[in-house]
Amino acid sequence: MIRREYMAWLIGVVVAAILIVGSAGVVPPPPNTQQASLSPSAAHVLGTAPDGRDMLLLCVTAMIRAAGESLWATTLTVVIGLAIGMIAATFAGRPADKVQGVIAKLLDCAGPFLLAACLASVAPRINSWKLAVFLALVAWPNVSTVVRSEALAISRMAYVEAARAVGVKPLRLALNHVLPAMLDRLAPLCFGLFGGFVALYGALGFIGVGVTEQGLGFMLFDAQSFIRSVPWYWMSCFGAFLSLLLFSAGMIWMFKKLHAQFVSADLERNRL
Amino acid sequence: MKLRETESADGLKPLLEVNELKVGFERDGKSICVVDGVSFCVKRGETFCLVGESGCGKTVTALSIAKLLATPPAQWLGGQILLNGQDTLQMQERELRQVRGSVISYIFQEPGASLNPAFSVGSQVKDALKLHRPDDATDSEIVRLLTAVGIAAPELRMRDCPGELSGGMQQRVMIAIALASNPKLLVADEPTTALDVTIQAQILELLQEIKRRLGTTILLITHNLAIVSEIADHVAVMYAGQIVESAPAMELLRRPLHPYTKALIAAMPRLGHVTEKLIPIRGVVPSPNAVPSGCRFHPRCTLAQPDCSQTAPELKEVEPGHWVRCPYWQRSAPSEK
Repeated sequence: MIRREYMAWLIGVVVAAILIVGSAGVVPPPPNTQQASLSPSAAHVLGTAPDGRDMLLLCVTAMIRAAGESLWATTLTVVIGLAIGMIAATFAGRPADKVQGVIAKLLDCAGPFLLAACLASVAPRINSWKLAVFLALVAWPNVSTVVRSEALAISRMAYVEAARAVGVKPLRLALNHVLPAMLDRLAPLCFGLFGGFVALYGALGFIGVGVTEQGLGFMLFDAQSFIRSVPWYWMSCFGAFLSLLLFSAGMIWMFKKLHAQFVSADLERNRL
Repeated sequence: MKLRETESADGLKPLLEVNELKVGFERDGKSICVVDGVSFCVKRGETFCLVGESGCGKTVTALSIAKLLATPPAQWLGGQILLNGQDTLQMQERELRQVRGSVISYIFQEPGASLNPAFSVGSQVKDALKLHRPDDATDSEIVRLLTAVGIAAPELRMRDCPGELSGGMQQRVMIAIALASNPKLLVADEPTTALDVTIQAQILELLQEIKRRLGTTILLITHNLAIVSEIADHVAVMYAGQIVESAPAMELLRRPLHPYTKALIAAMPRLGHVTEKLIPIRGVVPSPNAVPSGCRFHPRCTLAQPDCSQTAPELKEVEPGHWVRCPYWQRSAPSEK
C-alpha cells in the first residue's frame, strides 16, 4: 500500500506522464488550401496560415508539444541527475564521487560542444523525443550537483541520524528521509530546466534539429518572412524600454528608502 | 585499562565495554584526536552517566558505540567497543544495522529535529517496528508503545506530524521509537536539554520507569550534574577527550576527587544555597587541535604544579571503584581551605 505522504507526489508523476503521453498524440489540423492566409475572424481568431491551417490551433498544438517534449527531457534529466547525485553523496569523498565530479565538470564546460557533435552525427534521423535523451545526457550535472550537496546536508540532519541509529537501510533512508526533504529544493530547479528546454527545443527546431512540424522552432522558422514583412521586432524594443523604465523606477525607490533608513539611524545614534 | 570489574556479581559480562577508544576527525589532511583513550564499562540494568562540558567528546564517544559518526571526517584511531560481547568497531555496515535498534537505541538532544517532519509520528514508530519486529508492526502495537511512554489519546496523536506535538511529547515519541525494538542499551544524549524544567522531570521519571519495568541499561550523556544525582548509578567525568574521574554516582557527588569535578560541582547552582557564591572555572575548554601538554586541565586548575604541564597523568584507582586522573587529588584547592 502506498503511504499517505507519497500520494501527492504520485499524483504529480501520473499527471506528468499523462501530459507527456498525451502531447505525443497531439497533431495539428490538416492543411486546407481553400482557407489560405485568412485575416482574423470569429471562426479563426488569429487567422490562418499560408497552408490554410488555423493559427490558434497551430499555436496551441505547438505549445502542448513543446510542454510535453520539455517535460520528457526534464524528467529524464532529473532521473539521471538524481541517481548520480545520490550515488555521489553516498560515496562522498571516495573514488566514485570524485569520478562523478570530474565528469560533471567536463560536461559543464564541454557539454554544448558534445551535444552539437552528437546532434551533427544523428540529426537527420532524430526526432524530438529521442533528442530529449541527448539533452538529458548533457544536462544531468545541473541536477546531480544540487542533489549531491543537498543529500549530504540532509543526511547530517538529526532525523536522518536518528533513523540510521534505529538501523534503517541506506536505500530506505534515501527514499524515506533524504528525498522528501530534497524535493522542495529540486522543484525550482525542475521548473528552470523545463523553461530552458522549451527555449532549447525552439532554438534547435529553428535550425532544423529534432524538428517536428508542430514544434515552436519550426513555427518560428516558418514565420520568418512574415515577421520580416511587418516590423514586429519594434514591439520588443518597446517592451525592453518599458522593462528598463520599471527597473529604474524600482531602483530609485529602493535607494530613496535605504537613504531614509540611514538618515533615521543617524538621527537615532545622535539622539543616544 | 579496565575501569571496573568486567564481570558482575551474577556472573554476567557487562553490556558495554569501551577500552582505550581513540576517535579523530580529519581536517586539512591531519587527524585531530577528540576522544583520547576513553575506557569505561556499563553493567546490565544500570544507568551510567557520561558528564562533561560541551565539546569534551561525550557525544562522539556515544555515537562511536554504534559507529554512527560520518566517515570521513571521523576516524576510529584505536581501541575496542564490546557491545553485548561483540566489537562494534570491527563490524561491517550490514552487521551494524542489525545491532542498531535491536541492541542499542539512541535518544537525541532535540526531539523536534530528530523526528522527520514529513511523516506522522505513528508511521515513524511503525518504521522502527517493521525493522526489528515486523510481525508486531500494527496500529495496536503503536498505540501500546505511545501509551507506555505516557502519550494521552495515542490513537489520535499517532496521526499527528511531529510539528503538531509539544517538545515533551516529541521526546516521548522518540523514546517510543527507541523502545520499539526492545533494545538492551538505551543511549540518551542530553535528552532533556531542549525541554523546560517540568518536562525534564517527567522525561527523567519516564527513563527511570523504563529501567525499572524493562530492565533496560541506560547510558546517559549530560552536562547537568543535577540529572546525575537524580538518575545515575555510576558516573564518568570527561574533560578534553579523556575521562578524568569515574566512580559510583553518590560517591562522586559526595566526595569528588579530581579538581575538574570539584570545580564543576562548585559551579553548579543549588536551591537552598542562595547566599553561596558560584565559583566559575577560569579559562575555556581547550580546542581539540590545541590540547595543552601534560595534564589537559592544568591551565585551568587551581591545584596545578610545575610538573603538571610536563607529564600527562594516568587514570588511577585511588579508592575501590573510584578512579582519578590527577596525582595531586589529595590536595585541596585554596578556595576549599
